[in-house]
Amino acid sequence: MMLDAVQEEATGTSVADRLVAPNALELVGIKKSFGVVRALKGVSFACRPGEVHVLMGENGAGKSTLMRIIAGVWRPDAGVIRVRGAEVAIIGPRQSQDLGIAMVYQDTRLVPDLDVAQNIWLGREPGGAVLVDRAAMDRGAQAILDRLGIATLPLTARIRDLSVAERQIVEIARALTTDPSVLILDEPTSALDAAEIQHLFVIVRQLRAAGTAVIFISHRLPEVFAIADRITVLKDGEVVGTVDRDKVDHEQLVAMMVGREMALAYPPRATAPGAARLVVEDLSSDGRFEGVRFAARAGEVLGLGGIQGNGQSDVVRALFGLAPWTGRVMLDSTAVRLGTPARAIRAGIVYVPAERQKEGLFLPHSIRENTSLPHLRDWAGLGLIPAARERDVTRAAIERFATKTPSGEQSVASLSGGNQQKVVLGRWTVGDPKVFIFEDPTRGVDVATKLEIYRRIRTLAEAGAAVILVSSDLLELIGLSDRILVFSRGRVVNEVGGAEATEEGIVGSAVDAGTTALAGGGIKADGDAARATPATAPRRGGHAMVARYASAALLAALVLALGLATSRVSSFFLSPGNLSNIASQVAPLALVALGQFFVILLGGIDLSVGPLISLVTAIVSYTATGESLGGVVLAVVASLAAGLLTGALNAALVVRLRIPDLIATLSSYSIVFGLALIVRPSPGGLVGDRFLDIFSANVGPVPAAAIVVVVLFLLAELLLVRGRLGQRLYGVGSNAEAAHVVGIGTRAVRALAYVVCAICAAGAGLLIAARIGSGDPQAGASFTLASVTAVVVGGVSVFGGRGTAIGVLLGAIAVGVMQNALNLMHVSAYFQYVWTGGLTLIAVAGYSLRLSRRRAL
Amino acid sequence: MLGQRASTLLRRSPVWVAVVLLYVVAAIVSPAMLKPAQMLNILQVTAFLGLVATGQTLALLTGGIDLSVAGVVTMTNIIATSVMLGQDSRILPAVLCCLVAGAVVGIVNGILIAVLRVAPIIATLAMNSILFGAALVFTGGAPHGAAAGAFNVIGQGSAFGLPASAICWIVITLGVAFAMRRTTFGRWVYAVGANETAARLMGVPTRSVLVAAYALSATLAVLGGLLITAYVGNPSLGIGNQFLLTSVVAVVVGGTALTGGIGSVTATIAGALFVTELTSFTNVAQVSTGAQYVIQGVLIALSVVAYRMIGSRGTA
Repeated sequence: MMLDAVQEEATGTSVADRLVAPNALELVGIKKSFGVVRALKGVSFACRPGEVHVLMGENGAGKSTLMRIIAGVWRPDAGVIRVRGAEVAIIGPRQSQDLGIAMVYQDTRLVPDLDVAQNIWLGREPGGAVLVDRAAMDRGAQAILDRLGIATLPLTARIRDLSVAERQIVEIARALTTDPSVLILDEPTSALDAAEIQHLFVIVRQLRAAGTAVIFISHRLPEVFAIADRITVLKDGEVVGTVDRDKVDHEQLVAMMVGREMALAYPPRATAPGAARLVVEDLSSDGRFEGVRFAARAGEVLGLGGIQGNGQSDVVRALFGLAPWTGRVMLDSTAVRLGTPARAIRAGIVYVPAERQKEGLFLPHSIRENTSLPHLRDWAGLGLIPAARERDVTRAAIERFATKTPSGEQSVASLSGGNQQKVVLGRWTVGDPKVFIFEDPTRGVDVATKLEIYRRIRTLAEAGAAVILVSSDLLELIGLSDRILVFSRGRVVNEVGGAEATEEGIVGSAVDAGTTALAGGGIKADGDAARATPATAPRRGGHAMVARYASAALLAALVLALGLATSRVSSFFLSPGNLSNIASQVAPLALVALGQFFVILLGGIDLSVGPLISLVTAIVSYTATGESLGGVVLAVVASLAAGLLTGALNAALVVRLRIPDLIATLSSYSIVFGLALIVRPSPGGLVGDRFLDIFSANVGPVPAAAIVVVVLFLLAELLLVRGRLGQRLYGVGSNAEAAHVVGIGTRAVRALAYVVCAICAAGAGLLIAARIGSGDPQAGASFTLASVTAVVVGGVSVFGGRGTAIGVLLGAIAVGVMQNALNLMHVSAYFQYVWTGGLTLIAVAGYSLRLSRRRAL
Repeated sequence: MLGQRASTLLRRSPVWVAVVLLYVVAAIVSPAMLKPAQMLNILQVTAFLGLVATGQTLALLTGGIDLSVAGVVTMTNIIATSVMLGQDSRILPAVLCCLVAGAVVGIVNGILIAVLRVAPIIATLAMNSILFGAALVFTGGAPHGAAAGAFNVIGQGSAFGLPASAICWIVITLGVAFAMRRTTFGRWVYAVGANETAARLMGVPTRSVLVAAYALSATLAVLGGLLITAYVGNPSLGIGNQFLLTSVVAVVVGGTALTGGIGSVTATIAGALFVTELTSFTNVAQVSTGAQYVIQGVLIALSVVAYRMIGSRGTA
């Protein structure tokens, strides 16, 4: 066939090239499938040193899959990869980097909770085996940023405080730390404005001049012609062809991307649209869009276009009730109250989101359940679902779209992308909606299904509905729409008829409007301005240490205040004896909280610490009974071994068997508790004096254990701030995917955290054994919750990635002081359960409220 | 036809096979298990766990967990006995008090989880501690009071040759199972568990659904607590502790996934039966309490792995 011929030609050129000089990178016959979806069907592709090779193709053509294979994130099912002429097997991100390949992801893979310098060096920090060399990191990062012409980015700014364009720069800077011979840029311009794009091109040309092979993924034609040396077009997982830029024009390239049949296959446009069904006036939403007005008429497809992320998608999501807005909306000439998806659906508005699996489907459920869900309230209120009607509606929906499935009971997860989209369409064509909103309706579906979806969308319009189409694929937008509204920075800047529209026209008017808006100043949406301009100094670093310890300082003040208040009530509180007592009470709690902190920092939880403490007291009560030092050593070794084994069990369950942490550690909770009961069914045994002497020793008035624990905390804090380990913990906890792509062994880090946690708990068990002087299978019962309490009171996020060891220490001290204070005030010890629970809830709820306020800002 | 149905049932819920197999093994080891009295006893005792586990199933179906059920059972036991004080005339106020208290606890859990976005495990673990502490404070560590004689009938009596407690359990649980499968509310719970974002986009009031699920979970724990109180007749501070683990074990053994949206209430019936059978068997075989906990822990991990293997074979 024609396709084969073109492909042969492509491979032909690459063979000829190899005779001249080895390609920087060469792929031959790469295949990759995901379940039933064949993403790559034998792709061959080569890139020379010192060239910019653009890879083009529509969404779902396989570009990103191919690049992820090169970057070592995924492994190909078949095919050969050659780097500088030598065949290699890329088994992981680390290895890809070692081969001199660096990748810049479209949706940046950065760790939001680490700063610029830490992200640039993540996984490759200069320094010793334990600590990183921050000065060298700063120097190196600054040198690269200077080279990129971005001298102003503060190295201590956290990624989450940066704009999208700045993040992109950081990602490119990170790629350059390895001095790569192949640099992959995956749609790097999608979030940049015209000036930023020009700047990026300057950088790319510099790299090309230095001999780097740059693979540049894009589907914007003007850009492609501006930067490419050669262009390879990918379609449906196959190479259509590789061409020199000088020997090809727009039309040829579009024809290659879309294919001849496809280019002709858009259904005919509307001849005479009817009355306005949806009228929107003065629609504004802070920081998203402003003053948007349009009317969508019966029988027409209204396209919303422009450069991605300029408000077109926000407008439709807001209309559907997913963001707040002001303005007027009328459906069929009557004002409607929208505001939640439920109201929008009842009013007759249907929204089909782009992220089908994330926002549109319930994968484990059947087609029937997926189809009927939004209609159930209409059919049955909260009550009994009419089973026959549900079956009939499902069958009709399946037939309407010719969904390929044996029955309506099939789970949606087992369907292909195209059939999944048909399920979504079938669901929303039940009943008679007034307005259909489609966002990227053909993302990730094959060509045949695409055509069918286009026809269906047109049919819906012809039946009298108003259709709004938001598409990042400009060809699709132009081909399908009757009118197109061009968005730029949250405003409608142009309206063009679908028949007259061109890609360049749309991108051009969007870009022009953007630059005039910038020059004119006033018109630009405020929210956007706030996002783009540098935030205030403290948030962007400068005072990084202040930001890190702000909540800890607050907590310390609260503890002091609590102490002062208690000392007013009871003069005994501040006596050396009582303070020493508090210290020895806090020590074990702080130690187990330190362990719990490492696990929670990774977004996990370890419920087994309590029983482990009990088990250790039971072990000690048998091994350290006499006066001999040997008994003590045996007790310590056996206890730490118990900790190590428990940690290894948790790590195996969570990391290897991939059991959710909560259920995995609940399982080990039961196992370890059982072992404690087996060793010591009821409290008893007497711990020897030698053991007590060692573990209850004092240095002056201060318990030695407390000193050791404080030292451990300081060490942990040092490792977190300056250690290699800290970078990995924050990296994995904050964004595991980001940590993985720079080659950090996320599984090893997670396993280590569970082992360290269990060993800390075992250490705490030794201290508890010394305090109670016997073995008790319930001794640790309260520590599972108390350790979590100390951690969350210490300001650590339970979602992972944020928190300090110092905060956790203060959290443990706060719990200890509170307990002591209540004792001194003669409050029943039983209240302890109530307030630890209450304190935990207040701390976690307070944290999540703070977080949601931040998000709202 | 019937055979085919049975085989579908077995393929879909292997836990029923496990229930039967375990019973056969137990009977071989200890023929005493075959006595009708022993079977009825298992049914009678499973009822408490069964009700609590039914509630736990709802929490897991939403993708969360409810560790406060232990505290709710203890709370119910203490409130019921201290309000009843052994008098039949006070049964109704006692039951109402328990139900109201349970609903409040569940709604608070739900609000913490759905509105304040506290992780379910932390919210309910803290709530469990609060409830246990409240029971300690209220009783001063030495509970008084007793269940009324007429009330104890539902825990100790029998009807139609079956234990009354088992009848209560089965009727209530089948009702819940029906609601989960055949009503809009049930579908919403599954939808929120499988994909909360998508559910919101389908017009499902996700927050209310979460709050309702936790309220139901607590209410079912109250019912379980009332049954066990009627069975025991006395207040006991430690009465709820066992349910923290066993309720999760029963649900997980029944095949409900922790990731939410997958599982069924009827499978939890089998899960609860399995757990009780196992306890009963290990008691007969004189296995120590410690070893029972170990077995339970292993069982949790094993069933998660086993169901995943069955699941992946099913879709492959």
